[in-house]
Amino acid sequence: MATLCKNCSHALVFDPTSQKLYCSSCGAYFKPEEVEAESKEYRQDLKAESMESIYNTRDKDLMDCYVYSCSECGGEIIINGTEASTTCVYCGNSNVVFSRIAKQKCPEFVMPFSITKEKALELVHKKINKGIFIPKEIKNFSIDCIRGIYVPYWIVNASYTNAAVIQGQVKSGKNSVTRYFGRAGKLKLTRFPIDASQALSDESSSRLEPFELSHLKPFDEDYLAGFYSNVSDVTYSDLKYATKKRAEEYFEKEALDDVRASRKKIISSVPSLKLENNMVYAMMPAWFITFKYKGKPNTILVNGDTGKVVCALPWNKGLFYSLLFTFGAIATTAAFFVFRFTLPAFFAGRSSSSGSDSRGKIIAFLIAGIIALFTVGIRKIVKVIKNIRLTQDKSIFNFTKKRQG
Amino acid sequence: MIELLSFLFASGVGFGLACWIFGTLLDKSNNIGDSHGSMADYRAYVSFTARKDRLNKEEKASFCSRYAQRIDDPSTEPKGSERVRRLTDEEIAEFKRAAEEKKAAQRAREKEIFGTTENEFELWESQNPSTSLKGVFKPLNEE
Repeated sequence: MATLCKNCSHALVFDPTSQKLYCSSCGAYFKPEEVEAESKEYRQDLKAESMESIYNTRDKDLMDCYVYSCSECGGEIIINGTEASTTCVYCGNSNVVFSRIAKQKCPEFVMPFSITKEKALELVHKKINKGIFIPKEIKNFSIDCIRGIYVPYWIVNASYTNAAVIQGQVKSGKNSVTRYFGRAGKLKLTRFPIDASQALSDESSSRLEPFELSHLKPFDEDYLAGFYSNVSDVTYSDLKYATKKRAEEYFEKEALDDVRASRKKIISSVPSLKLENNMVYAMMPAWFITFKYKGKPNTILVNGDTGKVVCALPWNKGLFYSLLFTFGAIATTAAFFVFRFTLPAFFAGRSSSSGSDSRGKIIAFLIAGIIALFTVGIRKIVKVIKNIRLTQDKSIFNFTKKRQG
Repeated sequence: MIELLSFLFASGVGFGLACWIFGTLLDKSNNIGDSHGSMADYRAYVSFTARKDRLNKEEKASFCSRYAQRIDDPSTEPKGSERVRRLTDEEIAEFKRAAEEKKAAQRAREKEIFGTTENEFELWESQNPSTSLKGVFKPLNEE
């Protein structure tokens, strides 16, 4: 299952820096397309036996596992139902389970890793060292595991239509009134990547975007050597749902931006999506770095092509709240003196009806401003908390951790 | 009274400002890479086919049904419960044939009812770049 070196028969691994296969034993480099196809043909016929048939196990977790043998040392390689490449736990050599990616299941394109493990870690440290509220323990985290995983994607073409009624507030004389607006339109998505792995949430995978699709290369399993990979396990409904959700998001943003009103929201819509049947199957690279903080698992993602780091990390609550309250108290004191001297003059003006009108407006404006400040601030904090939950999601941690090697 | 009002406004402004500033700082500090591909990244654009402002009650109720265009058609695509896979050329041709048959039937029906077969959506589609991916991804070593 491993691609072996022509000179010394040691298993080769793909080196992101040189974009070639590298032999750690004799130091030779080979272009993936130059490697002989004999071993690849053998892999087409490779058969796997299920854990159930070999060990007669009834363990629910092991029902979807298959056993292969390592071409280097003959050791058992156990992989789950969607993995396509892994590492031998005994000799550490990379193995591609080719029967998984043969024929119809074989991806058409692969985006090879161009970010090395060291570079990925450097990028992560660079990012998190800048974070003023990231605890020191996280800045100096010890890695639980780091895995380079090729994530399956379907690159789709789709047409989307929608008709929506938008409710908004517009000025009418002195008051604001509720008005309704209608927007109908079409959107065409061309070469749009949708994650094809059920184990990885769409929210996490979409944050790895954008991918530079011009970096895609015709699929060659040698690019998988040294990395882990999964095959597509989504249904047409899943794919359609994920595409529709993204198209809807784009359409709604454009429709709301097109309406001149405040406090806009869509109150009804009739979306429709047609997926073209000419979708393309590709594998995209990502580094998954896991560590534990206060007993909770955290997974940082790094786009293996662009180096984009994706994570939301727990914050130093003591530092955050003490700074917030200190600043709040100082700003309150300063504002108190300003109001203490301006309010008497403000209320002492002439008590005509136009004067009280403008006073009322200023007070309403002040109250609206205070509410807006709190709303924006709290929304940002809630967004961070929501994304921290994604980073600490157990399913993504298991997606990375439950792999042999 | 003035003191109380001053204190209320001051604490609102002070802590509101603190909440906004530190919320923004926390977002920048701890929420790393919180973005996904934008429309510009995928060269996608929304083309509006109907714009109506100040909808009255009746228009509000009928806008969606009047302007919505249903384009999904389960008969021209694989079953939703099936795992996504690369379709063979024969399967793609079969789905294409089914879609064309359906379109032809629809056109005939439209002609019968309205006396015209003009389809705005098809016109829009024909003005857009081709969605075919053939030849788009060229291996870098061929360049």
